[in-house]
Amino acid sequence: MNSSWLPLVRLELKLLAAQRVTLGALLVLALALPSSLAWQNAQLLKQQSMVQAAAQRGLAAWHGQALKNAHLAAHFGSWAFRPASALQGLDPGLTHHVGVATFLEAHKRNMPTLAAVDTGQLDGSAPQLSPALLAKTVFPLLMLVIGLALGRREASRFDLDPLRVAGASARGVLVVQATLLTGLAVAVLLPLAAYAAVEVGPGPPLLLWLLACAGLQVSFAWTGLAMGRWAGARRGALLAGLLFWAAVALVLPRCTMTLAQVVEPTSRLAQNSSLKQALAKEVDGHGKSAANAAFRAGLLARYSVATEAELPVNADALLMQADELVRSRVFATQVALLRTAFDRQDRLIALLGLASPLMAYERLSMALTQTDRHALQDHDGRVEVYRQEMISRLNDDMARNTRTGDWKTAVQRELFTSLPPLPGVVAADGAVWLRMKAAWFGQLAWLVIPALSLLLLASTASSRGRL
Amino acid sequence: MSATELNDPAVGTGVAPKVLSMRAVGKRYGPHQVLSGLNLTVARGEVLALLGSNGAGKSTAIRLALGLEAPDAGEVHIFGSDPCLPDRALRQRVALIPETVGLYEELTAVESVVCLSDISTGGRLRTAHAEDALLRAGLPTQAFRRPVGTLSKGMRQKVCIALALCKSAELLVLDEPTSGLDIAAAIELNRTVKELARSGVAVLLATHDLLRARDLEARFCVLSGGSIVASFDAGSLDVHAIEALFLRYASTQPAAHDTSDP
Amino acid sequence: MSGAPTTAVEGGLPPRSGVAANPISLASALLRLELRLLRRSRLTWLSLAMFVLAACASVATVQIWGGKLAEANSQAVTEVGQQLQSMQSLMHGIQDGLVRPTAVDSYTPAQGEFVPDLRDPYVVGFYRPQLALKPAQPLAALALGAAVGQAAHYTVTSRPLNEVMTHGRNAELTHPGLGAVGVLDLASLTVLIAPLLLCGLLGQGLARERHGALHLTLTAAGVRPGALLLARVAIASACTLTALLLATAAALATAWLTSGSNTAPGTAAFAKAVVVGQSLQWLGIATAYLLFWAGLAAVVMVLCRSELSSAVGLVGFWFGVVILLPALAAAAREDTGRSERIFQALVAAQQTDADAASLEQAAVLQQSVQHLLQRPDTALTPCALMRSEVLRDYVGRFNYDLPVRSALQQQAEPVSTAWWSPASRVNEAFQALAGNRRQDFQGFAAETAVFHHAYRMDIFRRLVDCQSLDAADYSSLPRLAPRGATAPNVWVSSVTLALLGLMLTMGAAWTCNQSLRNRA
Repeated sequence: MNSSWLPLVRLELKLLAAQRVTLGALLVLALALPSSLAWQNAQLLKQQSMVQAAAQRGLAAWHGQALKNAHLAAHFGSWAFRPASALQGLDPGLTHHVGVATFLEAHKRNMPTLAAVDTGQLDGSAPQLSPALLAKTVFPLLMLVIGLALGRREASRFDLDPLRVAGASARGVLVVQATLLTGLAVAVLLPLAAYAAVEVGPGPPLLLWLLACAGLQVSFAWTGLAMGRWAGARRGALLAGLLFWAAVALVLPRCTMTLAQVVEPTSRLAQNSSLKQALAKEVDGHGKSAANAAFRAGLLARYSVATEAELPVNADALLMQADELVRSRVFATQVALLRTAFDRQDRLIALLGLASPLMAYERLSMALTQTDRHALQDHDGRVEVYRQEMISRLNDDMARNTRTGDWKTAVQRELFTSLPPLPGVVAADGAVWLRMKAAWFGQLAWLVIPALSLLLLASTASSRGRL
Repeated sequence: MSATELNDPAVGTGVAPKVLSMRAVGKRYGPHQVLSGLNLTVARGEVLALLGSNGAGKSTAIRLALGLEAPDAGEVHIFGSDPCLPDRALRQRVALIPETVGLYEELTAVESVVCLSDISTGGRLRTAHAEDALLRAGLPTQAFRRPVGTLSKGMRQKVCIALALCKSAELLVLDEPTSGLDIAAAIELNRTVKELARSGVAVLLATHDLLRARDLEARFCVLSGGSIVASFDAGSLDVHAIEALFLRYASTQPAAHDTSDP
Repeated sequence: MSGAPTTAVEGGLPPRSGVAANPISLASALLRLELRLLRRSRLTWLSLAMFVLAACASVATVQIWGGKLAEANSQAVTEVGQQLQSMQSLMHGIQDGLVRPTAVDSYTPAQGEFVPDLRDPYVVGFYRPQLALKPAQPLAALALGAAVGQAAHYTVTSRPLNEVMTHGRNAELTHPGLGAVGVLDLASLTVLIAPLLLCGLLGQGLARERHGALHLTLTAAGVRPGALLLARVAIASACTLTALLLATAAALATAWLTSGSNTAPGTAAFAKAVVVGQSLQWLGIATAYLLFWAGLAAVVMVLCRSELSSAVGLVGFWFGVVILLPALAAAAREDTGRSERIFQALVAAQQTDADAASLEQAAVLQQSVQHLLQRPDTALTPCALMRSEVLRDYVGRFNYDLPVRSALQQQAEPVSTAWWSPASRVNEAFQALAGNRRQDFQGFAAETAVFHHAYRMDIFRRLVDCQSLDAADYSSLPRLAPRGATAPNVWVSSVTLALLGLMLTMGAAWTCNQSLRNRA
């Protein structure tokens, strides 16, 4: 029977070559993928240029601000901007739905809702034209259609006899078809792979992204093949496939999001209320909290002086810094609670999303391109560390170089210029791959399921003496 | 037989009025002239069996007779009207039993009769009437409520016949009706067609089944080279004799085209 | 033509009338046939089942998010209301001499609660909150749009605009993925899922009837292919529209229950909106959109000869209209990049601040800022003493706030959605009816920013005049009455879409007849 494989392969290739519409569609898609990457990169370039210009202006403003008291400079504030990740053009992920700029100021923190500070894109209205969008929509639909057409071709009894006479076996035909479909999916991705490798350089994230993308397309193609074999000449198989795609691509993700919000609710008002309660009895750098008096008394006791004028340090500055530490702690607690809620929501979404090959791919894609919630939160975390360092230096300078009640002594300009720059994008580490275990498992499952279906179909057909 | 005699000897003899009349009909598909100078009539209560080799033009003649296609030359009339015109009243008087019966497979036999009859006649056929028609057509009652897709070819033909009965068609056209039928089903079909002919329905039958056509007491016309080359009543001829006649005439080319009216 | 023969058929078959079927009876017969065929098709039931599931999810979404947003607004109203009430009482107390405001310089916690002096306009500006609340439309939960991520209320004080208007500050906390994925509200159900239902009902096209035996049967029965096409499209559209109407009714009822409108006056207002205006417009848009889709489907059915190509054609059109065109339209929107203007304005304002003209001015600014930050609850000690510093602070902040306010106003300028993306336009129309377009929220933000400026100007004038407020003055401070979104005119778009759909359908039917006639 081995001698029948090559003729089968040749036959399939000839039949495919005769389908000009199919080939045309694949070619258009193969060109559309790198084109959409180019488009996204162009938009990113524009945005990053704007951001860099703003960053330079902000830095100039920070360095060139009027010399003033250190704490006042801490309120003058500075800016931090989120750089684009190397693969962001492949999948913008959540970046279009959050802001790029964070204002760094004493006592305040942009709450990590990741709600747009400066943008207003949170209307979920339209997806962004990107390779990831094409990979989730037209690509799998096309592979589903091609697989379906391929499967139903040999499902009719009368088409099988020539192949049987040629010595083909059921499994052989299926293997050839499944391999052909895999090859098609990979071939369509080649131009994108080449272009992306030139743009961002080949590396594990890009390769894994391409692997995940190819896996998704192959799973749809094999699903279409199995459906075509099973449904045969039954009408409506393609539309049933479309309904399946729509259910897993459109309905399920939206429903899981809402369900997650119901099961693990997050509330702005509840958070505000918690913050207020948590801060009520703590020191308040700019207020009249009772804790302030205790703090000041503690300082006097520590330095063994009777009045604040005798302190070798600036009590106001130390109070500001204490306030800063308290608020950072309280905010961090609230942030952690919120992120835990989001993590629980994510787990529920991942569990429900096992029913959808697309949701697993989405999570992988965003993680690999560093545009998912975790990457954005990591950036937030780095920015917050930087902010605390910045404020701490300023308050420290004020505490050491001035005395209590002195709000007039200005700092040296070198203090402004000595702050290190913000760290840029940190490359994804191994934790990303580990974190995405569930998503990889989901993708793999959605390859195994159609493969098993095909094997089952082949066995059933063989047992009936059919191809 | 002369060419004139070959061309519808029933014309002008004062017999039953013609239901279908085809005069000097020609039809070409690309470079291929399928019909040329075809003269054909079918009278009320008459059964005309159209014989011919594969590709002789029998199905084309039927399509022209039904007005599904327009002739390139000549005239076709059904009840004196041009069947190509969108005349619904005319359509109601004609029924077709094709070789491959085309019905919606998901509808039951009763539903098929009701729906298609309603479309043809514009009325609303009652289910009881549809069941009566199916019964008359010979469909077993247990098949009434089965989807057409599960019925055999013979049963589907009976559904078509029931449709013809509901329409009270006056011209019944059958294209290879017994092809693929078993003997019992073919006999049953014949019985029904005979009854219809006796009731005054004109029947045009394209067939290879000489035995069944003979049982219908049909008038045979042999189609060859695009026109009728022989026309004869079976009379007392047995099947072998009819076969011999067919083989003799089927290889005959038509005489020079006579455009005068028969 | 001879007269009607008597039939020899027994069994009571009706005699043939001899009268040609009129178009209405033919249409009726075709529609009945199509309905039967639909009922028998498994794909019909599969499509309906999916739609029903999606519709249930959609109604649940309306209930969940509608309740959530209504609750958030309601709580904001309650909170601010309570603050205002307590301040009102305090003001009366101070005025009547029953309450002694605290002197800031000598305050110690041992003295108890700090009582701000509400006679000082500077203090009032800081403490007295104004609630800017975006008016909620009755249909807000049906097309959530930007509502899940944008603030529907701001608490306005005389603090800097940047603090008041920090985007996202009052928006509901949601998983960031929600913005990317979206919610399955009624608008999404109509724009995305309803066309799928229609495709499922029409997916087999006319392939069966175009060729082979069935073609012969129908032609012999006098059925013109165009008539069959119209009947098929009509029935499928009617079924889809019915399903959509039921889903809409359920969503409306849910919205009424969760919006807090189920009180007597609320019900009347809701009912008025529902019956009189917005729901009719909503249904008009939905119907027009479905008619458009019916036209597209009719074109596909005419062009595609086989079942597979019909299905592929419908799938392709669905993808193009619902996914691809909106993505292209979003990319082509004029406001791409506009959204960065806010932080650019803030950076620019900061740079202006940094470029203070003279050291003296900078020192004065420093001083006033210093006083401001050190004692935000400053009671106005002898008016003349601090007035100049406070005034300099206000002036500085005006300069800081101006570019931000301008950026907000620019951002709120309406942006037209690409006319060539029907799904985008329909979605936007739904959101316009619900008052949840992004530009509605941005307009509200701009309106609030303008009010903020007016409020600060009022306080500023009182500071200039060294006014002391009394209870009457306190009550007469500016209040914000948001205009609310202007009622969109969706009828033009609806009629255009509907007409386009009808033209496509009629054109397809005519083409169908012509092509088969030519083939004959």
